[in-house]
Amino acid sequence: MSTGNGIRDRVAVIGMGCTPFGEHWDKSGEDMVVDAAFEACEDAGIEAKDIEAAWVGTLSSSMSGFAASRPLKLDLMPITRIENACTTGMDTFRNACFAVAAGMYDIVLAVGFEKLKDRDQRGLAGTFTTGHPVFYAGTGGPGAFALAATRYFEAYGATKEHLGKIAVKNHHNGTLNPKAHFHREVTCEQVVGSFPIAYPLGLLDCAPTTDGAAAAIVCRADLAPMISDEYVLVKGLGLAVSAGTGQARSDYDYTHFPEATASSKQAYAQAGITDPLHELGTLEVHDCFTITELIIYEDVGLCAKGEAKDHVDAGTFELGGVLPVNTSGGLKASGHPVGATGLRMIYEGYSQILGRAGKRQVADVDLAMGLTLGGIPGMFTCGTAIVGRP
Amino acid sequence: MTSEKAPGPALAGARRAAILDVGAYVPRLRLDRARIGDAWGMAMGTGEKAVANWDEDSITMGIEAGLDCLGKRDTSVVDLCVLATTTPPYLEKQSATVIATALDLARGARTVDVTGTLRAGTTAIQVGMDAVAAGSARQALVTVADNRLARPQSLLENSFGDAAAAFLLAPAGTVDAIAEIEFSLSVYNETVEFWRDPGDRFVREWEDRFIRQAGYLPVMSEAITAALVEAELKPGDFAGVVVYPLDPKSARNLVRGLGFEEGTLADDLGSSVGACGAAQVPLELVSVLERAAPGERILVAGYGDGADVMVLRVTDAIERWKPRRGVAGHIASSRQVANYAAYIGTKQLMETEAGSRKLEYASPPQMWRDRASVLGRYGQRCRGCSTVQFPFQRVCVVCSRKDDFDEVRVAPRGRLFTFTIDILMPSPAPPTIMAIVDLEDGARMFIPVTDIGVEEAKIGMPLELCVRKLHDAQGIHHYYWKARPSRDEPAKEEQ
Repeated sequence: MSTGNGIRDRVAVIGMGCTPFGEHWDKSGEDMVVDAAFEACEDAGIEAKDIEAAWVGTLSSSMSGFAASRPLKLDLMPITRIENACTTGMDTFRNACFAVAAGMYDIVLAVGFEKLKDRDQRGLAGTFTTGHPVFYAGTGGPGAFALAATRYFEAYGATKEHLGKIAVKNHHNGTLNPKAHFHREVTCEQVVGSFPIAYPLGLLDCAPTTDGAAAAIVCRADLAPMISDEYVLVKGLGLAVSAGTGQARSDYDYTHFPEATASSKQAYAQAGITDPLHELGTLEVHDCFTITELIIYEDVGLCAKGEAKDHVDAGTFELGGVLPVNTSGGLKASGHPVGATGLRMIYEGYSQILGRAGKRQVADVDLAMGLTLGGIPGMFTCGTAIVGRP
Repeated sequence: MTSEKAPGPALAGARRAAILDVGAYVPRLRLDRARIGDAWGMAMGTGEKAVANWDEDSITMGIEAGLDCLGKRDTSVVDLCVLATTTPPYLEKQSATVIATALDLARGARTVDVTGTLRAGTTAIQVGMDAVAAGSARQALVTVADNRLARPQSLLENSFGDAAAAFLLAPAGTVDAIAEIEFSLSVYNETVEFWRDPGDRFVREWEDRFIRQAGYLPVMSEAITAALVEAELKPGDFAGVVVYPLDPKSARNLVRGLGFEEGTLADDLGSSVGACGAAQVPLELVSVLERAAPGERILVAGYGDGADVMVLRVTDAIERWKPRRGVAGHIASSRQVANYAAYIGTKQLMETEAGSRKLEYASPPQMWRDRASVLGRYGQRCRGCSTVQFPFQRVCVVCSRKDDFDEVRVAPRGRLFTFTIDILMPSPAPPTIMAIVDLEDGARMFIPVTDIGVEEAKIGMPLELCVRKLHDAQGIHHYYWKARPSRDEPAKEEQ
């Protein structure tokens, strides 16, 4: 990183789009790609033909560059499909940014989507596989993250009530987000008493299975003011992919996610952030399960190890708190269409900075961050993006 | 009418062999027969029966008995590995190779399945005797396992249990043998009494009076009498008699009719294990040896399509021999199946919602390539940092050295580091306890914990590894290591 600041202030996001997240029985994955990408173009004030290259992210809903070229009719264009587990959307955005920063293109599209509800499966259970008939076989998302919850409870005395409060917060935020999957409040008692999925996690500790798409128009920072009055600058991008050693090393403690620490540190360094709790205006994190959000608080440096539960009790991360986290409702209430999620987080930060967040608007947001975790404890891909006011 | 030759030397197999060691396996799960009665609304007998969990079969139970028999013995001299069973998991594809691989036997060991008859267990012991007597095997491991399925609501359902036994044989006169098989003979008898054709899940039987009067009593009497004559022994010479118990009363009548003393008949384990098919006589024999004294003679008679008879003499070495878990240790470690519905899950007697969710992925090339890890429990120790890791990696998980490892079998015991009670893990009997298990040598595994109740799972609890079926896909049984609560600490609790 020759400048020492990495990606900081070199590329801009001049337009974004995001479909409502939910169970879209009447829409295909291609429909959602069209809806998100054209909304982003319209927001940027450009036409599809102005796009020079595209990156499309999906975990398993399509394949190759066709995932974007076919629905958008982007003919003979350089298009790359990205897959990086649940950090797919974030990495799609990251690669688009790098191409622009490299000077290869002026205006590009990053679009991520997932169409989960066309298949007969409940949740993502069992879909994660290392590609072996028996090694790590059967690892489902809830069970894998529950391993961390069990251990975290043992180590730090957190309880299901602490997890429940995170779900309560995110469901509340979701009621303020018209594009969220769920628009209903839940109580802590409901969360704690919800149907057991993978002890200690119950149904309401889990993000839903959701369809959706999100898109960004990324362009050279120096061109952005000429195209759009409203845009944000990319301040930092992080990506940390672990070697999966946590699954094989008995010194991994299952109470922290080193990938989240590494990825956020990369982004903080580029953005010049030293005190994220007070410098960030909003933060979207990967609450695929309530325990994930609890542990991420500590891993990204918002508080010391073991203290996250105290901040949950104090309301530090609620709307109106020191640093509102998952103002969108998070994966928990907004939903988690895997390939879209990272871009949806950037969309939330973009909306907050530009003052478009409606009832969930946080005042004076200069910097907003998103962080996605893909994989399972012991083996994650973790992507971070920080965007800011020009 | 075919001529009926009297059994004698011309018909007998090997006459002598030594028993170096024995082992047994009885599943942890037990079903109180009252639960069967509850389900069907009628009294179905007393006591309990051993129930192989849904992830157990004759292969996994054979492995368990083999491990219990071999202990820490040198397996490089085991040149023959036999599985006897009427319930081979595959009709085509050998079972003994799975057992030999899991027991880490030498590449050149001969593997043999003996199947198709209730007398497969005693016949397999005779096959082992032949091999050690002929010099084709220095030692022969004979495992016997059965988990026969009876038609729900039948009397057989009430009696059938699941179990396994194992014997390590060597040439007669081998030092430190705990018993010598002094004599053996067989007689065959073509009749149809119990049978299954390849499409049958449940054992069929003809009327019990026919079996008892035309088969069991005359054929067993004929074979045992012939053996006594040949061996020049009389009933009073025997301290123990192990005969296949067609039913308890028939066994008593048979033994009494032949002139054996009251009290010599071995416990048929019906109230704790149940009728365990081909493993019945072998299991009873192991149980008798666990309490035997030097110099005692034991008569053994297996039944099914004829009879096999053996005469054993217990040696002085029995006093220095300590059974490992054996029959008594395994019976003492149990956990009750809560009700008949849970039993349905363990036996997959019905199509259920849970049973319909399956891991469908099969890949024989991957399973073959990784067989040393998958079945042999081989991992590696880094020559740089000494970290033990499982399964094999090309690059060390700690110090990143490449291809610089010693192959090691990872420890068979460890402790539970963290766990979840996972309702989504495909299983015929959810939920599944999935756990991170830290083994005694520092290796870490992510595997299911089986034979455990949800309330038993605790961070730090001792666990031991066992081979179980992880899942079936494309008709392929995927055997792999799982953890289970240590059976050294007996616990009787509800499942």
